[in-house]
Amino acid sequence: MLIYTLRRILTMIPILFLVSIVVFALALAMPGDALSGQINPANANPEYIEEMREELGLNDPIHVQYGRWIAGIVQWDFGRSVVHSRDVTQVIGDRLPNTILLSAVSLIITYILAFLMGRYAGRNPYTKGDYAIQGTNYLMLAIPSFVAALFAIFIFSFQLGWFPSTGSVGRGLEAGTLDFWISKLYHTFLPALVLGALVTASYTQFLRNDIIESSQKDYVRTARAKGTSESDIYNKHILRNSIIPIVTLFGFDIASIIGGAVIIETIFSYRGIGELLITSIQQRDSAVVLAVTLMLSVATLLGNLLADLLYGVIDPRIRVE
Amino acid sequence: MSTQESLLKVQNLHTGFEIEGKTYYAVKDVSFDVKPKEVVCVVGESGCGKSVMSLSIMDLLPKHNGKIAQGEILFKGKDLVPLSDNEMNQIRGKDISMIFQEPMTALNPVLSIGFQLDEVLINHTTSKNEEIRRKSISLLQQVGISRADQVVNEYPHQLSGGMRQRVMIAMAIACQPQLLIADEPTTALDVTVQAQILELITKIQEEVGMAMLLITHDLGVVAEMADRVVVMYAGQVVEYTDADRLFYAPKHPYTKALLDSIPRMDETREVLNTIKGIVPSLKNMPAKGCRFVDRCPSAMPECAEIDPQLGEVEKGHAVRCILYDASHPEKEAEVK
Repeated sequence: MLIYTLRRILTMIPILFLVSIVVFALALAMPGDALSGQINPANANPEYIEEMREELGLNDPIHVQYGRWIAGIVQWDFGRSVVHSRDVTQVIGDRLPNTILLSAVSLIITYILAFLMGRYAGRNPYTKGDYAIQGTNYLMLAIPSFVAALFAIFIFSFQLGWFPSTGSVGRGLEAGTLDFWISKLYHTFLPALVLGALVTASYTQFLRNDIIESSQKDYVRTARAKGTSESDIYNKHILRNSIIPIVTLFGFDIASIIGGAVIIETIFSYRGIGELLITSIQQRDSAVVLAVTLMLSVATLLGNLLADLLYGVIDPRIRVE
Repeated sequence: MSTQESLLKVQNLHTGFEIEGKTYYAVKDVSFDVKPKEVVCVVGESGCGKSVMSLSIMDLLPKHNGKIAQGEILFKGKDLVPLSDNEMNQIRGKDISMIFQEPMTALNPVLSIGFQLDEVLINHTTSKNEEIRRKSISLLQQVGISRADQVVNEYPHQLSGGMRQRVMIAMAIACQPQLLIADEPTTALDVTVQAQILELITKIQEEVGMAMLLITHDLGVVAEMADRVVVMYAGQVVEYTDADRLFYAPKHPYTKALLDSIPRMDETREVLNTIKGIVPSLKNMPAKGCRFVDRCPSAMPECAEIDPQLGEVEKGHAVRCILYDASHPEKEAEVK
């Protein structure tokens, strides 16, 4: 198991190398740079701007720029944000906890909802309750998240006033106090719910279908023949098998949730990585864009690794000795 | 053959499947009984309704479309058909247990052998956990698994087909049931393993002193093990007698044809005898007349018209074929 994990981590290195090249090429492909459009040429000397470009190394050949960038990363130096005038690690460090909180709350809500709904629908297929759950699923799958987010804000914030519509924490609260954390969770709940809707729908559907399929399996018949009660059959025999496909999805979810967070955070003005990414792209703050994109790639790879390891825990057939 | 002495008495059983809004009977009017400690074999080709009949007894029919439409299943005089799932759970695995055809898929792939074996004992006894585990290990030893204390912690995919079937047998006998239903327990196994498993089942059946309903299409197995035999064709019992008479004096043309298709040591044959045609499928079952008529070597014109009845030709030997007056619905009265 340990050797397997180490081997998997080692194989991530070449993958990351390729990813870094693609990410870097994409960032370079963006038109303009941090200096274009930001400075009024009437106020500043064009020669000075050109001098700044030279100084920042923006005029160097591509491979030199890439080499400088990658050499920095190896030393945990992601460069400086031109817009924020701070180190990229600091800029990201400010935002990262918010996004992690959002993703974690979103995943927890997703798992709870999907588990309850999927299990109910799978045990009672083709009933009214099942149809209601499936209807909700299709709705969650079909509505784009930015539309869902606007509806959620309209209904739960403006009409009902249950949740705040913007921000990631209340004003005037001291960081670290209990009130601060409660306020944070309170601000996180609505965006997390919207963010998890898509994943919840697909999990629910997967779980439902797998439970229905598994309930016809021979081993379920064997369990019945032993006099095992219906609830034990579902909770012990079927669920253990039906969780397997969901765990496989876990790796992809990490990516899709963080990707979704870009949109959701922007709509909710939630100060996380997603919002940072969008504004950085708009301002051509390429050091931040590069670092965030690379970070998302690493998160996806780690998510997949985690899913593979969990897979072995749940399914003894693929357990690595 | 009174009710008192029968352990299991199936009467007039009809089991149907609902397909596209219509009910088709896979088992139609099946009656037989099993006495304590007796081995009754049910034989017939694939698709004869043998498995459906045995699943009916255990109430293990597919829930969404299978249903017992009519008839009684008396176990120790008590009808099992109207019992609820909870009531059946008290009987399944304890008084009646079952071994299935496919040991490869009959065990849950993600649960350990020990868990699955313990489960029977947890369901039906009040013993403590350690005691149950000890019992499980001794059951595995009883079915001839040598590394029993390791195997309890292993998973089904680590065992061979024969080993898995042994585990299934261990589960089935865990609570010392009075009746064991074995649905083609050796069909999916290697020929070399088949004999071992049958030997094991016979040995345990004698040790535990349980009765057995053995579903098979292997007449060799029948000859070796059966006290009495039920021959099924297309969902009906066509012949029902003791093993000796079945082999030495078969009455029904289908039984004769089955016996004829066994290769024999004392004859040189180029080609094996077969019964031409196939068992009619559920949807193509003839509405009236004998269900074997299309394939029967002794068919007469009236066979397609008259529904034969299961009639007692002599004491303890029933046949469903109008060649015998006892089966003929009009002549039956005269016989009596």
